[in-house]
Order: sequence, then C-alpha cells, then structure tokens
Amino acid sequence: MTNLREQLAGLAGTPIETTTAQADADLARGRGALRRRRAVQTAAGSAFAVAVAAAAVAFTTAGNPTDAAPIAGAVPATAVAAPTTGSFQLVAYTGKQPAGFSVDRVPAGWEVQGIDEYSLVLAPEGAKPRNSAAPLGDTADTDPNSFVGKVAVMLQSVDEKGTPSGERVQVGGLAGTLVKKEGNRDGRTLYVPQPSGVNLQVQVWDGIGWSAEQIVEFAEGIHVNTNAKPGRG
Amino acid sequence: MRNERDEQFHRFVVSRRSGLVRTATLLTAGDPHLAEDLVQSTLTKLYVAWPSFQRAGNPDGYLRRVLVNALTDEKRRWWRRREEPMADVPDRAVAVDPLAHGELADGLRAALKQLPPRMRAALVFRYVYDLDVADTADALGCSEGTVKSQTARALDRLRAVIGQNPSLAHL
Repeated sequence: MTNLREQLAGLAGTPIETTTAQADADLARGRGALRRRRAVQTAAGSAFAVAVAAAAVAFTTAGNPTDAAPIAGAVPATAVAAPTTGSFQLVAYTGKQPAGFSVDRVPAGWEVQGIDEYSLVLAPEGAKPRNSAAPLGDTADTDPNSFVGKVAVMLQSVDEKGTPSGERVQVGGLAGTLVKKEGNRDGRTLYVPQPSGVNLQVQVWDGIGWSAEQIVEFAEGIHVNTNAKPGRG
Repeated sequence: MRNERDEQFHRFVVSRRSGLVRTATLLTAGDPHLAEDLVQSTLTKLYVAWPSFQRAGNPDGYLRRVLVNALTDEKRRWWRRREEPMADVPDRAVAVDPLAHGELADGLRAALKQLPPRMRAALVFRYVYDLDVADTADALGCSEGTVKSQTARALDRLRAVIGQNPSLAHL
C-alpha cells in the first residue's frame, strides 16, 4: 500500500543520468539566448533613438487629434496594464532587420525585442509582465522568448494545420482571419495566408488592448522573408 | 570555446538536470514532453541569469523560483513559439517506474492535471520535497497563508477525485 507521497514520487519517474550531449544542448540554448539578449539590448538603444526622431504615421482610433502623436517612449512602462485604447500610432521602424521577418512600422513606445528566422517579438519599452523571466519579477522583461504582454509574429507551426474559424479581415489585399480560440483568455491570433502556403501569424496579448483594426494595420507592415522558418509545438 | 560560465553551467546541468526533470514531471502533471520543455526553458533562463544565480544566497530557492516562473509561462504554450530542431532531443529510453503506471497513477495524473499550476506546485513542494511553508511561499512568490490554503485545497481536490481509492486513504 502506498500513500500520496509515494505515488507522487513514482509519477516523477526514475532518475536518469544526464548525458554530456544533453548538457551540451542546454549550454547551446543558454548561449544562444544570452547572445540574442545582448544583441537586442544593443539594437534597442539605437532603435529607440531612431524611433524618437521618426516621422509619425498617424493612426488614431479615437479620432481625437489631441490624442495623436505621442512620441516613442511616452507610453507608460507597463505592459499588461497599459492598454492602448486611447491612441495607437505606428512609427517607421529603422532598426536591425536581419532575419526571417521585416517590419515597416512599430507602435510608438514599443521596442523590437527579437527578430530571428522564427519570430519577431515586440513589447512596450520597459514592460514588466507578471510572468517575467526574471525570478524576482520586478525587472523589465526583454526576453524575446516570452510573449506575455507582447506581440509575436511568426509562421504557423508545422504541428498546427489549417486556419481556425474567426473574423474575416482584409490585410493588405489578403484574406486574413482573426481568431479568438475557444476558452482562450490570453490573446488573439491573426492568420494571413502567404504565397508559400504557410500562414503568417500575428499573436496579440489581450492585455495590451489592440483593436482588430490596429492588429491589421500593424500586420500590413510585416514582410515574411525567404529564410523565415516555422516553429514546432 | 567555453568560458568559466559555460564550464560551471555544464557541470551544474550534469549534476542537477535529472532531478529537475523529475520535479518538472510532477509540476506538469506527469507530461514528459512538457516537463522536458519546462526544464529546457528553466536552464536557458538560468544560463542567462547565471551571475545572479551564482550570487544568490539560496541557490536552490532561486532555482525553484525560475522553475515556477517557467511553469507559469507555459500558459502561453498556445502561442506557437520557436523550438529547437527535433534532432536536439536525445533518443533515449525512458526508465519505467512501476508507480508511474497503472490505474492509480493514471487517476493521480488526471487529478493533478485538473489543479491550477501554482496549486500543483504548492502540493509538490510541500508533500514530495518536504519544503516548509516559508520556502514554498518563496518559490511561489506568495504569502505563507496562500501556500497553506492552496495546499489544503489541492489535497481536497485530490481526495475528491481519487478519494475512493483505499491505497490513498492516508494522505
């Protein structure tokens, strides 16, 4: 007869010795993440300066001229708690665009945290989502692998087939679909078909408060490059 | 070329990864794939924050906080994200534990799965790893009172699901 503790211990499985190959792979992942973080930190500084000087492309949902044209960086530095319902302004992005995706415009006050062959991740500058990668939580989350309170652009996973049903929207002349998955309370995903046959996905965390029109407006400035790769999972 | 950080991290992984996988397996309600994902995510974050980890007064506590944060981050799993090519996953046999299989284990796994992740973590830290309330609260980033209530509710829920099984009569 066993008690709960023994049952749980059994569920955890038998310890298996870690191989050198596993440790090597963990090390490679860690080094890659650190390299990306340092690259983003370097790029973010220059991107910020450029964005401040960039001419604004007004896109104000409220239609109130007094709400328009906040300079980059003027958005409060909280992510999930900083809905942009008052105004939403895209400014030219002239930062580094080295990999799978390129972007014409980004929202004022936002930074590109990572672009590689698999994803493009944006977040409000200085955002501190609740699920920050930092263990103690109260530091800005610049981890491009964390999407909480952010916007992520990528190709549809090879493990996900087809386009779910959703709201039909026009994205630069393409028939896109804005999907709110049943039971999901985290965000919405815009699917945009690509010539390759693979959907582009723009995933928008609910807490940031983008409207459907704003998501589409942003997505129209996204370009999928030939070296973009779909992820798994 | 490896530097000192790399060497330290590599040694850490070799010595601690196995235990992390077991903990992650429990935290993910017995899902080995999710557990591996959780361990990889935790170790990656640990490498990035390695200097802080080295300076931490309580490294085990630090590690548990990273693990719990990574677990909470798994909420975003529906957000398709980049994963390493499958070739990176070692093709190894999984050791079979008799307690990890059978009707009782399946029932326990299903019951665990129904618990919210943080409640599950409170249960695992308190009842599998014998952490005291204070250390569990530190791992979860919550008050000690919350740990007590979460653990009690977790036990109640498990009893409700598998309480009919006599082998779990003395929780």
